[in-house]
Amino acid sequence: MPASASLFIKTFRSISYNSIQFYLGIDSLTNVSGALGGELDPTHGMYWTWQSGYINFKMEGQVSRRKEPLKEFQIHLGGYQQPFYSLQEVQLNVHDENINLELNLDPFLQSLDFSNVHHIMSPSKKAVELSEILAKNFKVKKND
Amino acid sequence: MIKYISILLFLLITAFTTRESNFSYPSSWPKPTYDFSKNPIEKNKVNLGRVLFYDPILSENNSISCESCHSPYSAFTHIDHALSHGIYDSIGTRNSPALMNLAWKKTFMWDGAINNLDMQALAPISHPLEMGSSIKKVVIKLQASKKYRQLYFQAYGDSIPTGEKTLKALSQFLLTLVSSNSKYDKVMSGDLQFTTQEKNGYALFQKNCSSCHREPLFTNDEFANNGLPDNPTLKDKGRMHITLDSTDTYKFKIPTLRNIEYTFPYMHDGRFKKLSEVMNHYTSGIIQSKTLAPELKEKIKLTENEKVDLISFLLTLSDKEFVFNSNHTYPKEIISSTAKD
Repeated sequence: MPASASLFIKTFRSISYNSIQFYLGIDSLTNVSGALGGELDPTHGMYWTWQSGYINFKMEGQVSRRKEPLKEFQIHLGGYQQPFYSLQEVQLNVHDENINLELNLDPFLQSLDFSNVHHIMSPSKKAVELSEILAKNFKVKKND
Repeated sequence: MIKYISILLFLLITAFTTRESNFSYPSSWPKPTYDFSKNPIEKNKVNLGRVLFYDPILSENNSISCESCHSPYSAFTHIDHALSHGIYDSIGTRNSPALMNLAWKKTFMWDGAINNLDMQALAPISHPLEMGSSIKKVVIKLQASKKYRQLYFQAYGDSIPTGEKTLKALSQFLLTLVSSNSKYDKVMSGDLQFTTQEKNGYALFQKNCSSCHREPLFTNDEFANNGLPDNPTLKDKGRMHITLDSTDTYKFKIPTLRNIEYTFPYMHDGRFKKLSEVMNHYTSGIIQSKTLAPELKEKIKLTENEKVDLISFLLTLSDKEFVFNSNHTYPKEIISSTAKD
């Protein structure tokens, strides 16, 4: 669990990279493998309790539309079984050694309908759609 | 040649060691589904799991333990309570399931929401109508306890409780709850004989019930709609809430019939107090619907005498050795020899 929104990943200096690939979420096999430790220990709060499965992405906060009062929202994305398998693979080309990987949350937030939905907390079609949007909005930027 | 001998030796060694150590069950039973290689049974881990099972520390206000709803004397269910009870006198929405032969289950809960025994305890620990806590809060409390630091050290060689160790220890104790010493089992092994009435009942069972309540575990671990009328207060659609698939509407986990004498009331919402009510449901109470189990589409016909015979067979599934097994009860002896908080 990162303490901030920035996560540092060290690479080997002697190797040059042209591509970076990672998964956003936890694969289905890991999801059915019982209790796991370390980063996957359910004490970190990234595991559903009423139904088995890891939460791949979590965003919580308050939202206000126009002049309405603030409302709590909770978006927990996950799901390891078809048809709601939400694991995403991200693959990006890189040209520099020192890069920043940024996630643009704007398209994600724009696709949420805060007039009707404030809670997404189980595997569903919408959760898969939102996971896809997140995966598409990573960008590689040169670190200046 | 030496190469072949070493391969043979390797095969021989693995053949003996892959067998679940310290976990015994009748040789005629199927292989368990639980992956013991990830959590091999060890006495000190079972002990830790047993202490946790009986400790209300798992609940928000230290008032409810697993045992509150899963008493050993009723085959680990909450006898005489239709719906489960939680902290602050809250009432849940389903009947607490009896706990036994869990190593053979693929999914847990009436709706199969849980995919692995290790993860099962998270649900009651977190549910606001059950223990109302969280695994994080529980682990923080355990870390502050001298007693638990000692028990975790004995079990894992490391005195710091984590979520993983806690859940796996609970699994260890739960896995040891094997019920295989009923009269039925002794008849099957040739040590005892059924009475005439029980024998008639067994034949009726095999004809009418055994496709879902499959021997020897008396469940096929699948989900089915057994034609119960909808409870308008609970509005429980069962498995459908998990899969969001309308073909799963009103389907619930098929429970084992072992120890059925001790596990009343019956059904997912505990609506039937007596086995005679269950018999009457299957013969004359079935509600037809799209998702009704195909086995129940045609009416089950049983005379009043046959119902009595069938019940007399079901009572042969009672396992007194299981219900009164002193290895399963409150772990006085472990607690008295451990550090006090």
